[in-house]
Amino acid sequence: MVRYTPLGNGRLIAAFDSNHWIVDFYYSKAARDNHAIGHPFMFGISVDGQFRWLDASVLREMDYVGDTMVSRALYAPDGLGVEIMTKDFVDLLEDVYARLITVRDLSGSRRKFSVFMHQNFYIYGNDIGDTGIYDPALNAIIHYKGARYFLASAIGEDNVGIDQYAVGIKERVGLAGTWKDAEDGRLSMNPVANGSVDSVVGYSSDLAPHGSKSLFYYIACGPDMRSVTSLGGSLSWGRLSSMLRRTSNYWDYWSSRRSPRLGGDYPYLFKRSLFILATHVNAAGGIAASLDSDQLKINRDGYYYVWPRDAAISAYALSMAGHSSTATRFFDLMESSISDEGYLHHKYYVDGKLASTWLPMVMDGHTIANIQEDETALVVWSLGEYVRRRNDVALLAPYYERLVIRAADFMAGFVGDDGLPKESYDLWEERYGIHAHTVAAVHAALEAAAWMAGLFGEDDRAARYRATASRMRDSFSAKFYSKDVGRFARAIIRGKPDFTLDSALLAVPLLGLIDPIDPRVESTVGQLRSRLWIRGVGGLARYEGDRYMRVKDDQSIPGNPWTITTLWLARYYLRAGDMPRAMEALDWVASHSQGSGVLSEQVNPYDGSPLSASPLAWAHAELIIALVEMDERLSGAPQGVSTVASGAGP
Amino acid sequence: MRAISITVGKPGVALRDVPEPQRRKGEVLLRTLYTGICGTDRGLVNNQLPFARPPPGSGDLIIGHEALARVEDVDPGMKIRKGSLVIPMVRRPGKCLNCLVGRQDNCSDGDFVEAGIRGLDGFMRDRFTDDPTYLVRVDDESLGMLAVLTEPLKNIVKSYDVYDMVSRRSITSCRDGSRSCLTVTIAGAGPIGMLFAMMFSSVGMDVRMFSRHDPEGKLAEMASRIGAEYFIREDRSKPVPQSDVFVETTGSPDVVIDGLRALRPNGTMILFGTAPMGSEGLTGQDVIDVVERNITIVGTVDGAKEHYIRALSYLSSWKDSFPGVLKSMITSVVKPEDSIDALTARPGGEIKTVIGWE
Repeated sequence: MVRYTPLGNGRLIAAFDSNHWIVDFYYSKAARDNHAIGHPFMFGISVDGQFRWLDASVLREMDYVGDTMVSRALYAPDGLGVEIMTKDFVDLLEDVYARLITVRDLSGSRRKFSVFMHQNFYIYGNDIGDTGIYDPALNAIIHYKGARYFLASAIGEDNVGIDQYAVGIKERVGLAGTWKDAEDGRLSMNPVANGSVDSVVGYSSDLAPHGSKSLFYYIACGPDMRSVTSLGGSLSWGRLSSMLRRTSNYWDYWSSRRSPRLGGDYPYLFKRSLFILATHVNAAGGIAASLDSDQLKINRDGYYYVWPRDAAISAYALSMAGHSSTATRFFDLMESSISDEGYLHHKYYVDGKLASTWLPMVMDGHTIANIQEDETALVVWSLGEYVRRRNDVALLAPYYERLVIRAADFMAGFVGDDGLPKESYDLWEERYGIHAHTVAAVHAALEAAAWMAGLFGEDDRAARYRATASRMRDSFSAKFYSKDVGRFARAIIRGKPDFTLDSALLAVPLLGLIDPIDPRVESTVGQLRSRLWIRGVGGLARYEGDRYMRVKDDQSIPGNPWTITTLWLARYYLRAGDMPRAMEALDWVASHSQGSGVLSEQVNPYDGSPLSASPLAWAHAELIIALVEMDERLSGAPQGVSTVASGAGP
Repeated sequence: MRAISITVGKPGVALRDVPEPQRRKGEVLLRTLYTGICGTDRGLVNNQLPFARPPPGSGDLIIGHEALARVEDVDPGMKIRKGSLVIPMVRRPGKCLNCLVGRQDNCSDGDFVEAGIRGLDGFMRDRFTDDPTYLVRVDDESLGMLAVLTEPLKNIVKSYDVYDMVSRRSITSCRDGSRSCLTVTIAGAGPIGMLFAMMFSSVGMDVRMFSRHDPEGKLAEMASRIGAEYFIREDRSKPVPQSDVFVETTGSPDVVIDGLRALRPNGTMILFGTAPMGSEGLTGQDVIDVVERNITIVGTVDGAKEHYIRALSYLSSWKDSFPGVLKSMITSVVKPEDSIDALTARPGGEIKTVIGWE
């Protein structure tokens, strides 16, 4: 399910469903733990005794406010004679989520209203041993467990606080939850509950005819009771107004660093992609693949991890957009995560701890490398691009020995007799073999490492990396291309080429392994477009016969169209100088973004609706990269093909 | 339903009864709330614009390109929802590279269409359908009728962007990094001139503006509320003050030349107004001055979607920072049935006439 308008500050992240209700609420010093895991924090109103939940059926607008990481929603419930506008934000500096709620009378008569805000915490991702308690001194509800404390309350523009509350048991012994208590417009004032707990706070006031009233609802977060009560107790109308202003101003300025000179919705999508990507970056340098927890319901595992591949592309996108300092923290994390052998593992928690995996260490009785080598490669390549774009060798120095050299030595040694990388898992995490995408990534990484070694005067090392990369390229040409088939193989598995059409082959030109206008590349891409472009709904499928998240068995559909693969196609055509086709692919992505600019991993091939993780950080990163490359190309300064990858230096 | 249309190639305008639009899948059905009348509409009505053309297969053209509309019907799941207020964009892309990337405001070959002007029916009608790609949502609904100024203002926002870009070729900012030491002179005090004045005033520049008449002193008063200095310049005997930027909104060649001659070194001439009449020659000395003083002359037309979005943001901000000014720019609101006179000739004292459709 799509998470709209995510908001965050690196420690606290709030994400919303189609009702604009919080459904994911991450908080820790590295935003590691999700304390909602898909369970909604409902929002309702009672006007002159008539109650209703404010959900998608009455939600007229939901978007970010201008170019800021402040979200805006407008609810227009039929028959109540009021409209409700909200502005949500996560404060830039303090761990506070807040919602400015403005209720406006449309009926022309005096009204009485109460708004109800529901807290549905699953602290640390479960509902065992939670406490919810009303604190009369602070006129607030506090939910807590372990080292996670959340203080929820509201305050009006007249500095009057909540007048109702209720804490209770949810989803146990026949109890739906405390939210049910709000539906009669009055809360029970039950002050405490433990176990599986939810709570509701209510704020009441009246409206003059055609008048409006505003209040802030807020959740302050802290690691202990003292810090959360101190923070929560300091939140006045004035302080929250000031937080809204500083957060709004900061993101407006932050997003103005670069804007592509494309028209239509692209400037808007570019900035929203930057915000959305920024919410996935935490204070420890982790860049999560997606904060959408929906997958947990199906697989009991999700996307809220750092895949070095996704994160490296995201860091590259951020540096292209001028936000290098954000990217720096990621390289810090990778430097501390890389193994002694010089490779990166499958994935990590957002604070750098090793995460779950499905890659085995044994296959057919033999020990294998349970890695995807392109992940290690793309981190090195991304760092090279980062340094090249900033033209600042000082940025490289802290990472050179412990990250670049260690990884490049591993990659230069993890090579078979034929000069190709040894077998590892592919980027789709499905097959073990030698993959075209991995070859392209390792080649680009070795070229980047050679260039970086050259910057430090290590010419012998640079020559060794470059020679390995050169041999890899030659071997790839010899072993992966078939004149008979007229395209490159996507992989060599158990010694045999696999000619399944796979969008991952686009890495061959995009990572500079072979020129985009080489006839072999043109022929390969021509076949990819012809066979993987989805008739009707459009977009490029991952590969022929892709079963992942299939909507139904249908031979006419090669697989669901993916956002990143379609953006690769756009970037390819941009480099090949075919602007109409580049724009066709880019326009497809733009037209399948959600109202707040959110991009999903996949799209339903029948109705165009979003599928799988939404937002997907990698998709937003690829859009940023595509738009910057487009802007550079249109400016007459093409920089899309890295000079690092071609070995030419800065 | 009602629609205001012309027969292209003939002078005249009429309110006609036309069929209701049929919304196709993917399109949005819109109810027109307000449409603004501008000089282009009068040029069309009086058959003075050679580029006017009806939609393919028709001899008539529904005019109107400044509009505020409300979404009446839309497919489920679309980004724009029923009830939203929107501004429809005027220019629709052709096939050149600029059009391809959504910058049809910079169309390279003229192969575009413009709603209510060339090749596409406009918005002076009760309802119309449109592609959501060309709709800009109005977030600040408290703007109400003032949102109809978005379309003209987006031109000014783009003009300012163009000025900002070309002025970077030399150091034109003040010692403190601001533009407060720079002077801009605006020729023309109609709605476009006033919006230019607000734009330059809002970035701290010293704004002067002139027109030929201000019989009731309204223009001077409005300029004063913007923080600009207004003066009457009845003819060329009155000099144009020395400026760093000269904005020409009247389309008069002699004003262009006089403004050019009044530019300081590194100055910029922004040509915005157009008129099919008049001529005025450049002298050799003019050429020398343009060269020797690094003068930039730019023409700018229309705006991209982002300029519409920013125009809405400026309107929201200006309604507070220039209290009452935007409202006083709309000097008359008429019903469609009463709009023919205002469409044919500019009423005395008009700054902006708006047609209310509800």
